[in-house]
Amino acid sequence: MEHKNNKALFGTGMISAAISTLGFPAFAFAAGESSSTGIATILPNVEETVPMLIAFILLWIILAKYGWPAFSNVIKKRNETITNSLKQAEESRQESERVLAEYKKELADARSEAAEIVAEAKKTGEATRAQITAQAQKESEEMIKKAKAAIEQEKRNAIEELQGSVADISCDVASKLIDQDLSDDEHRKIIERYVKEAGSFHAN
Amino acid sequence: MPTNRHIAKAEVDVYAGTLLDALNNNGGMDAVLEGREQYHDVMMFYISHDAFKALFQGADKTPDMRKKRMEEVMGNAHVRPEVSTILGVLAEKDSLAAMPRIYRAFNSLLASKFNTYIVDVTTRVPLDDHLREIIKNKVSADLGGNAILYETVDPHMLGGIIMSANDKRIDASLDTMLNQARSALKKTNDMEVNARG
Repeated sequence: MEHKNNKALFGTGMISAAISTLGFPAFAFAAGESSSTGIATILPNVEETVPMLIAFILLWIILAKYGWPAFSNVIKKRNETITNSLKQAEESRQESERVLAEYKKELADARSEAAEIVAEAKKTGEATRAQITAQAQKESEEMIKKAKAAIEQEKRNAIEELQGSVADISCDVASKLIDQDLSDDEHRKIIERYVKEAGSFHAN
Repeated sequence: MPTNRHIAKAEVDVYAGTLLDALNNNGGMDAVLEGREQYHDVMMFYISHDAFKALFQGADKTPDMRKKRMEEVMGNAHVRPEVSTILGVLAEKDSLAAMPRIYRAFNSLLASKFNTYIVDVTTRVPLDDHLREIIKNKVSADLGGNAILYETVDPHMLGGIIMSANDKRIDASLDTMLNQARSALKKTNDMEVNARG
């Protein structure tokens, strides 16, 4: 668009130059042919000034009619372009800021979530550790309890066995003493005593 | 033997009564005691010897075969004919397993019919007259009848006395007393151990 406007402006300038050159050829040659001296050198030459003024006015009119609007359009379009660009840049900046904010928010959320996960994992780990510790303690207590019971039972068995052996040995010794040391008369005395002390036949 | 309890008991009583009457008729109380002793010995031998038991068991042995074999064995053992006859009948009827019940019924009948109790006495040393008198007096006092002692000396016995009369038994042997003492001692020890535990 801008390129098109520039092209139109350039065309307008070319048309103005052609008019001034082709419309007033006499003035152009006349200027080349004049030879002034003295003050006349710095004073305007009417023969040259009027045509030039007319040419200027014509040029101004043409430019005002055709050049300026095109130039104005170019400027306007350029202004719009710049405005749009600025607007777009502003929008992009706002979008970037929004995205950045969103990103920051997501990042913060992610950090928060990660912190929560870590805290949860820590909590779970603590609970698991406590559970494992309690379980281990319970199992160890049970093992100790069982071991104590087993030791106690072994002790009882040993004592029972020992005392049983003592009872057996005592009775065996008594048996041997009775077997070897009692005479027939002593046996008979025992029988007599037992018959007298024995319960009744009715009682059985 | 019949499976009905009352019929079986009646049959046992018949065998015991027949044996008692036969022995008494053929020799009085001496024959009764001798026959009782022989019957007891055969019964114990039958219970403790499977080979003897096998002589009368099995489908291949007919009632006649069992009876003849029993009478033959009893004849060789010089058992009284009354006892041999009864045992022969039991073998014929395949009722030898009832011998212990017949023996108990025999003793009961002896007590009820003759007011006499056979007292089986087992001791380590032979009894003297003084001990016999004491034992008879005790049996008379307890059961209210005459006592006839059937004495057995068991040298393996530690001491004391075992008496059985009219299906009742008094074990006053030192062996039993020592075993009781051993059990009581162990039981006391167990209680002490448990109390400590």
